[in-house]
Formats: sequence, structure tokens, C-alpha cells
Amino acid sequence: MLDTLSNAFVLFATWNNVLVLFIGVIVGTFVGAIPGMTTPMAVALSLPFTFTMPPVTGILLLLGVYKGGIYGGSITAILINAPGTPAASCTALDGYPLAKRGEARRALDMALYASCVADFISNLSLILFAGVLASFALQFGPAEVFTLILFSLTIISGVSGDQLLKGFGSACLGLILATVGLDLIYGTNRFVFGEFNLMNGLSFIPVLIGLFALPEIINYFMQTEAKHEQSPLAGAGATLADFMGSLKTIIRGSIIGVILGAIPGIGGAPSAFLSYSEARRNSKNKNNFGKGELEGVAAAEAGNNGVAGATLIPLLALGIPGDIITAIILGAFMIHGLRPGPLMFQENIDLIYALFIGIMLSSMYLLVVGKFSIRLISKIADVPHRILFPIVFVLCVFGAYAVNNSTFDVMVMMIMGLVGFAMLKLEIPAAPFLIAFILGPMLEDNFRQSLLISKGSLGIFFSSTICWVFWTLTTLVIGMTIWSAIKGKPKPLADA
Amino acid sequence: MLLRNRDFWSGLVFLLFGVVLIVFLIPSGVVEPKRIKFAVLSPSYYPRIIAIAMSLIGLAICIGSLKGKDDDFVTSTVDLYAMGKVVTVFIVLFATAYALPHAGFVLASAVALVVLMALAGERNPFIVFGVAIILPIVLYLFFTKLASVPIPGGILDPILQRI
Repeated sequence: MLDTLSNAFVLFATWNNVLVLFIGVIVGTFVGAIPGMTTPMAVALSLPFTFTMPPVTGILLLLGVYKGGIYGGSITAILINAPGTPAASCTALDGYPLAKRGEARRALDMALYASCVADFISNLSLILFAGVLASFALQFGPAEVFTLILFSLTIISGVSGDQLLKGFGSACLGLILATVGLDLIYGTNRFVFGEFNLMNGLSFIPVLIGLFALPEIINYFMQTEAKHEQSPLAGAGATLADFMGSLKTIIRGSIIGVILGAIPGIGGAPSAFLSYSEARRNSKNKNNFGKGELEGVAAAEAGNNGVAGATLIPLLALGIPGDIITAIILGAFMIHGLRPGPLMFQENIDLIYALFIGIMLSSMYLLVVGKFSIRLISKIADVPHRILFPIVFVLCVFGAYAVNNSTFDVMVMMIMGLVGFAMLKLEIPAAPFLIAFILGPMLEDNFRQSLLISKGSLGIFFSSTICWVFWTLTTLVIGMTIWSAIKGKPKPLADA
Repeated sequence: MLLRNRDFWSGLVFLLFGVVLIVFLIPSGVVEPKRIKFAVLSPSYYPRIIAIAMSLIGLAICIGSLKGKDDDFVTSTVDLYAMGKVVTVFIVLFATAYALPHAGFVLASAVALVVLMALAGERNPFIVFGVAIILPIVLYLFFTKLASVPIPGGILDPILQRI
């Protein structure tokens, strides 16, 4: 064991590895912060640079970009309500209201600390529990994932505030919009109406930007000049007390992230929303969630970043890539003649441990890069809103286009901006729409895949202990919501 | 100007959209395969459930809003100046989106920046034109050269290609 560790350390401890990992985290953070520039895009663009590098160096570069990208998505979500990734949209729920109150720096700090702690816990879980978690994750079939997503959707009641019915209506809109495109099972068109751009469905990023960033820009022009000039980073950073107050939430969110991250195909968004939901349920300030609660930022970021190390569990332990990013990393392994899976732990254990050392170091890099980037960003955010909002609009246009190189996506963003503005004026909460739109495809796909497996029998949704656990939790939450509504509490929701 | 309460209008939007989905959009927009093994696997099954739920939610919101007291109804005046600005902003946003493939991203964004900053009240011409010229070019170079995203240059393409 000690021999293996010392060999791994020798393999890792080169200036190239240390530097490349650092560059990867910087690039990832920078790219993740640009609306429209997704983390998978950044990892894919970095892949060609790894061809000439040694295997450890190349894979560390990709891991650095990946980890930086996950954190970077939260920066614009907090500052300008334009999430760089779907998972970061959960961070925007409380991050942006905090920024509007002049506490953006506090929110950014908390997002960073939660990200680093969650990333560290996730990495530790990868090193210590890869085998156990991989075998647990394999027990998740479509029925289990369906019940898990259904449970995650109970957060809708929590983010609807005192507009519960409007929140449900908003969620229905999100679910309907998520059905646009080719049918998963039969491959027939749904709501395409002859527009081939709709066959792949609506991209997440243009919809998210349109729904959140554009209404803010449009609404700005309706406000009086006095409201415009407040700097979003006027406040101080997060204190130790803030961090300690949210530590329990961060650890809980990290564990949720680790468990969901180990399940192939789940990703960061459900984890962020589930962590947020649990934080709200257990918080003393649950009524403040969605209005600028620091704990909400911590929960979302912990859930999101808790996934980062754990997604490597099925990849390294079983050779199964859980998402696009790990698929690209799998490609990098194969380019260097390596095949992740159980055999790799026997044949290339030095390399695995060297990667583990690098992964642990990346958590520290994230803290350094994050703190530095917050300082830089604080200067950008001091730009007066009369200049900043037009700039944000142009960033949104480039960002929406860059996702698929399509001006159609820019038009989608504009239309969603119009919808978002109407929702703002009618006081329809946008967060349930967003959650349903992100989780909707997973819900439907797993629902129908389950029924395909069971030949139409609904019994499959009650066929395992995991399903029953999630049904029980969902029923409890719904029951408590109804009970609270009957009792007439102002914020009756999801307090199980 | 007296406005009915927002809940009523929200409910009506959900109700009408749900009904339009059930009556028109799902039958005409969801292509059903010739053979379906089980009814629950039909491509229209899931959207139909959502549409029914949305209609019922809309109806519940409408009924709930009609039961509200007079105090719940919102009385507000519409600021015509602000409304005019918002309409102009919408026109600028959609005109920009429409102009992107024809005029190119750099030119369309530059014009949008000038108009939006002027509308927002920025009067310093150095800032307005400086930002409007530099930002789109920087973004164009970042996306095309570093991120390998082919941004349409439009009528400025011959000039941008030389940078």
C-alpha cells in the first residue's frame, strides 16, 4: 500500500501536473461563468490539448476544467441571474436576491466555500467508498430514478412561496415545454410543427437565460433611476459564523451530491434541487428561502459540487460514464491506452492514486481561484446598471448562440424573456417552471422506460425498497404540505 | 386604471393554455405512431395529463380569485413612459435577434448596445460607443478564436476575418 502511494506521489509530483491542474481550474471557472459556455463544451475543447501530454497530466487538465466549470456556473447565476449551467440555476434562486440586496459578495463567498467543502467530501468519497457506492448505484433502474425525481419535484411547493397553485401551474408549463422534440420511445414529433430546430427539444441554457436574466433587464427599464445604481457587491463577504451556520447544510448537500453523483445519468441539477429542498425543510429560516437565504446558496452549491468527484465513481470503478463530461474523460483515458473499470485498479493502481492526489489538490485550487475571481468580479459588478444590463444582454445573446451555434436559440431566449417578464408581472413564480423544465425530461423518460420494461404494469414503481423509500418520503411531504395549507400557515410548504 | 387581480389573469392563462393544448396543440402537434403497445406509452399520454392538470389548476386559481375580497384587487396606474420604454426595449431585443444572421453578431450587438445604453440613461458618448465597439469584437474573437464557435460576422465578415 505504502509502495503504491509513494509510486503514485512520484507519478503526480511534477511541475507539469501541478500547473496543468491549476490552469484547468482557472479555465473551467472562467468558462463556467459565461452564460452559454457549458462545462462539457470546455472539457471537450480542452481534450485535444491532452493528446501530447502524459496520461495523468492530460486527465488532470480535464478534471480541473470540470471542477472549475461546476463552480463557475454559480458566479453569473448570483451576479446577473444568468446561470451558466442548469444546476447553477438553483443557486440563482437565493443568490440573485442576495445580490439585489447588496450581499452578492457574501453569496459568492458562501457558494465558493460550499463548493470547496462539497468537492472535498465528494473526492474523499471517491477515494474511500468507490466500490460500495458503485454497487449501490447499480441498484438504480428507471423506476428508482423516476421515484427519486418525483421526490425532487416536491421542492416545487417549497419555492412557490404563498403562490402554491400558481407554482404548480408554472411547473406544468415547464413540464409541457420539456416535452417538445422527438419522442424518446417512438421517435415521433411532439410540438415540432415542422420546425426542425425543435426536434432536439429546447436547449436548457437559452431557456434559463431567457426566463431569468432577460426579465431582469427588461424590468430595469421600468424602474426609477434611484434604484439602478446600487452595487450588487456593496456588502461584505461571508463570515466564519455564516459558514458555520450553514455547515450542516453543506455536509448534507455534499452527501446527497455524492449519492446521486454515483448514479449514472443523474447529474448536478437534481442533486442541487434535492439538497436545496432538504435544507429548506430543516432550516429555521425556511420562509426566507427563495428570497435571499444564504443557507439556500450553500445547499444548492453543496448539492451541485458534491456530484463532481462522485461522477467518477461509476467511471473508474465500473467503466460506465455517467454523463457527457465523464464520457469525454473516458475518451481521454482510451486515447492514452487505458480502459477504466475493475481491471484498472489492478493494472494501473499507481495512476489511479496519482489522479486521486490531483483531485484532492483541485479542491484547494478551487478555493484559491474562487477567492481571486470573486475579487476581480467585484470590480466588474461595480459597473453602473445602465451600462451593465446592456452588456449582460449582449453576453446573453452570444451565450445563447454558442450552445448549439444556432440563432434559433437566441430567438428562443427572447421568447422566454417575454414569457418570464409576463410571469414576473402576473406574480407567477418562475422557479417551479425552471425546476420542472430541468427535471421533466428525466421524469418522463424514466417513467416510460419503466413501463416499457414492465410491459405497461405500474407495479414496477413499487417493486423495490428504494422505490418504497421515495414514495414514503414523497407522500410525507405532500401530506405535510396539505396539512399546513389546511392549518393556514403563510408558508405552508414541504415542511416534512 | 383599475386592473382585475393578477390571480384571475394567471388562472385564466393556465386554464386557456391547458384547454388549447387538449383541444388543438396535442392532437395536431403530437404525432402518434400507428401501433402503440400500451396506452400509457403513447407520446401524447404524458402531455395530456399535464394539460389536464394545468387546466384544473387554472380553474382553481380563477375560482379562488373570484372569491377574494375587494381589497385583494389591485389598483394601479400604468406609467406610460415606463411602458413605452419597455415596448422599445422589446423591439430592440427582437430586432437584434432578427438581425443577427443578416447583419452579423458584432454589428447587431453594437447597435443594440448603443440603443439600450441610451435608453438606460447613459449619456457619455465615449462610454456608449467605446463599449459598443469593443465588447462585441472581444466576444467575437473569444468565441471564434479561443472557443472555436463560428460566430456569424455578417456584413462585417471580410473585416473581422482579417483580425
